[in-house]
Amino acid sequence: MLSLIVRRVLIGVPTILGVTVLLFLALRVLPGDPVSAVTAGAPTTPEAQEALRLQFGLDQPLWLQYLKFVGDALTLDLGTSYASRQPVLTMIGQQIGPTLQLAVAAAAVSAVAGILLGTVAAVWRNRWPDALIRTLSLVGTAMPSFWVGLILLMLFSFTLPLFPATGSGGVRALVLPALALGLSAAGTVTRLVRNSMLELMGETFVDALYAKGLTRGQVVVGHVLRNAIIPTVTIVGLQLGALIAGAVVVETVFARRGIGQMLVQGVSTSDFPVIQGVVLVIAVLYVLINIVVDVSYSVIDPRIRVAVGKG
Amino acid sequence: MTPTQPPRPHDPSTGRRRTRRAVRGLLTLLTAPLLLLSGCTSPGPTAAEPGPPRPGGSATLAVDSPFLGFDPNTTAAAQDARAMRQMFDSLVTLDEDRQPQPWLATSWEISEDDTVYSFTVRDDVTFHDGTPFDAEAVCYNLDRIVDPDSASIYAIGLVGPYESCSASGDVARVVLSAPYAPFLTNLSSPFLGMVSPTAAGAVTPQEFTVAPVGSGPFRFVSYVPADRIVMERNPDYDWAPPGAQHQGPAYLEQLTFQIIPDATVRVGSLRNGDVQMIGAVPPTQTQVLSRDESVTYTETQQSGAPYQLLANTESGPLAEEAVRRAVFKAVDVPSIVKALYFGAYQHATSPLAPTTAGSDPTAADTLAYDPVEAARLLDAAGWTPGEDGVRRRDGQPLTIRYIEGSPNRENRQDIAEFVRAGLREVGVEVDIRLEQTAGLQAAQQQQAYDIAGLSLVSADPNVMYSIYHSSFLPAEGRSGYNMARVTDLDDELLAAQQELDTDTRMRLYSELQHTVMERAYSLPIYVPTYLSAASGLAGVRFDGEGYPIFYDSYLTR
Repeated sequence: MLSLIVRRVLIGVPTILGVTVLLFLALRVLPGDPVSAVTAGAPTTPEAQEALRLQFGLDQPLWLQYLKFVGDALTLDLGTSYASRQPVLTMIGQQIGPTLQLAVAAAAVSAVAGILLGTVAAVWRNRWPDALIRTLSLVGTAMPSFWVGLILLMLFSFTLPLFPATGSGGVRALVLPALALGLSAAGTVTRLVRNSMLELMGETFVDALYAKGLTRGQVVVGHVLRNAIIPTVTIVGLQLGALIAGAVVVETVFARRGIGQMLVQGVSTSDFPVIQGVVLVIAVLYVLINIVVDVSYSVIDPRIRVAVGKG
Repeated sequence: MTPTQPPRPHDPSTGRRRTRRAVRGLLTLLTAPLLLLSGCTSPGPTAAEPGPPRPGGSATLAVDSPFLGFDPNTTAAAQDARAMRQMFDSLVTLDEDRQPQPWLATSWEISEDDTVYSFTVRDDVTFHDGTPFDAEAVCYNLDRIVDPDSASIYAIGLVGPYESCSASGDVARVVLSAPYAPFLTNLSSPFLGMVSPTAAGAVTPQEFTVAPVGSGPFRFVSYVPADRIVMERNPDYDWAPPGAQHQGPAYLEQLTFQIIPDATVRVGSLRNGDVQMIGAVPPTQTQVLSRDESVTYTETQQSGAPYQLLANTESGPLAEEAVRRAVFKAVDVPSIVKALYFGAYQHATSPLAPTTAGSDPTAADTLAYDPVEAARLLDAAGWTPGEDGVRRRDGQPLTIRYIEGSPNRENRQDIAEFVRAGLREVGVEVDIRLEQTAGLQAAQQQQAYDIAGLSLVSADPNVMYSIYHSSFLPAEGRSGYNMARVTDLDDELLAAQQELDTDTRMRLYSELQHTVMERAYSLPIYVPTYLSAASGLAGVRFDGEGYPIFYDSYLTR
């Protein structure tokens, strides 16, 4: 188990380094001038612009800037935002909580809705509940989350004032954004659960269970669903990474604070330290989530643990 | 001075501000029989007549984009200024004619050579942290702005040739290295609001910008980045500027600016009462909101340079004056602006927005739409129509490279499309290139354009210096607003900047505006306008640059 974790972490390090190199180069190869972006719209003097350029360290050669970025990042210093002049790590610290809340809540929506609907569809295969759920899941996957968000706002905030439209505090403010983000993801989970269960239902061990005298409910919930959960955990885990990234859009619609909004703002003002910091944090989270998914597998399914132990 | 709101003239001679307050006609109509039955005849306050100001309560303004910080000395964003205006007072304020009037400074004297300003300041003002405001504080603020450690972005430009400041008694003696006529006007800006020397001296500029301390009617409570800034009433406030509708503390107990990026969500939040006022109303929504009887919809024109197309006068086909004039005269500006902004924005008629001191509304007459004249000018310049309808000279097609920013801020990309359609009519091909901020700046620096758009907010006509003076030419690795690449107006611009006699100065700016138009350096398109809507909140005023003032505002329900 421990060696599995260590191995995964070791694979994660070059992944994250690769992300930083690509990102760092992309930001600087693309045409751009953070100084002008920071001062945009205000009549500033050329001297003031030059002073800012020196302050941002943009006069340094590229490799030196990169080494400084990596060196500082290792000591948990992600630099200072050009625009707000606040330490990027502090900014991320203030913003990451709401984003994680949103992503986890959306993953929960995706898992619960996906497993429920997928099971129903599998049990009532080729009958109307199945047809309905399959259509819904397809529509859900196809609908962009910002659009789902706006529809939810129209229905449950502006027309029926059940939930607050905006804000980041409290559980009630989390409901609509989590649904908007989670429902699109639920479509994928629904189809996956349905297909896995149908596959399993054709297996001989299911016949054996019925032969043993178990009821349909016992077989479906206790055995088929339990086995179908394994690929689902993988997908939901991987979705969590994508949901953190997808929070960018939903956070904007619901005016929630979070690293997504922070990133959007950073990109629009060429705020290099903010973009680098947020992307680095997302990359680290992504890698960590993958490790957790891998490990949780072996907890759910002992066969994987045994195989790894032998290998 | 009348105690009314400063006008935002669309035409300076008439004075114009469009505030549509609707009576709750429908509601009255529906409830009228009820009132008769119950024998009650006195109607309650309506949106049109909100009744006398009521102190108390809290209000929220929803804005569209994040704040960067709240230190007037260092920050640069217009969004920041909206919040800073509530927390900071300035030495002077501008009256309806955009002339400086006393605020924290009770009077001032200017030396014979126009370089020394002696400000006598109020002795009854205290900052939110209890520090008394005095002449020392004025000097502290000015010195802090030019201190390289502050890395001031915008305020440092406003103080111009500032050299030094010394305080004695209640007089601050400010020395400039050269005459600088915009100085007094600039002192009215929220970016030159006075910060508490004690508070600012105790922390770094990075810390102060998220924990600002001023002397304004509202004081800072908390700020959550990307979410909101909360302010509360300053109970000791007793130094409102002339132009304010009352004296003493503000009416509202609490004032919040919340960031809601999505326009639909902003409008929805106003309707369901989550917020009391919204900014940056999209022009497409203005018709609906202005007809809504529970909503007060306001258009506030921003002073400074209106959105205009600058012609690259150094290289490319527009280096030739006759060709520039022809191209500009082929653009039907009033029709474009009307089609795109549904009347919410006015078309610009000068290189200075109408609410800027010295704006001359007749300046752009020489560039009025005249496609026949445009075709004649192009014929005369040797650009003759080719077989495909595109004009040619020496075998080369007449193609204009037009750059514009992305995302589509205020529908500026659509303006580009309209210009392309207009120019096609006279045989000019337009190649539109849309770029994000970064790419746009690269194109500007490399002169990869013939036409580029620009607008700048400023209270003073000296904004023309930033656009047409040779020190603002873009160069490799350095951006600048002089994208028209004008180099022959330096003397005139400096003279206007240094002329302290108001009448002479305004005459100089009138001449400059006419010169810029006659030489077809730019084509004014529309006047950027802050569109806001309030519901359940009355008494919001706007300052000279178009920033809202909540000091006189109060809840109406």
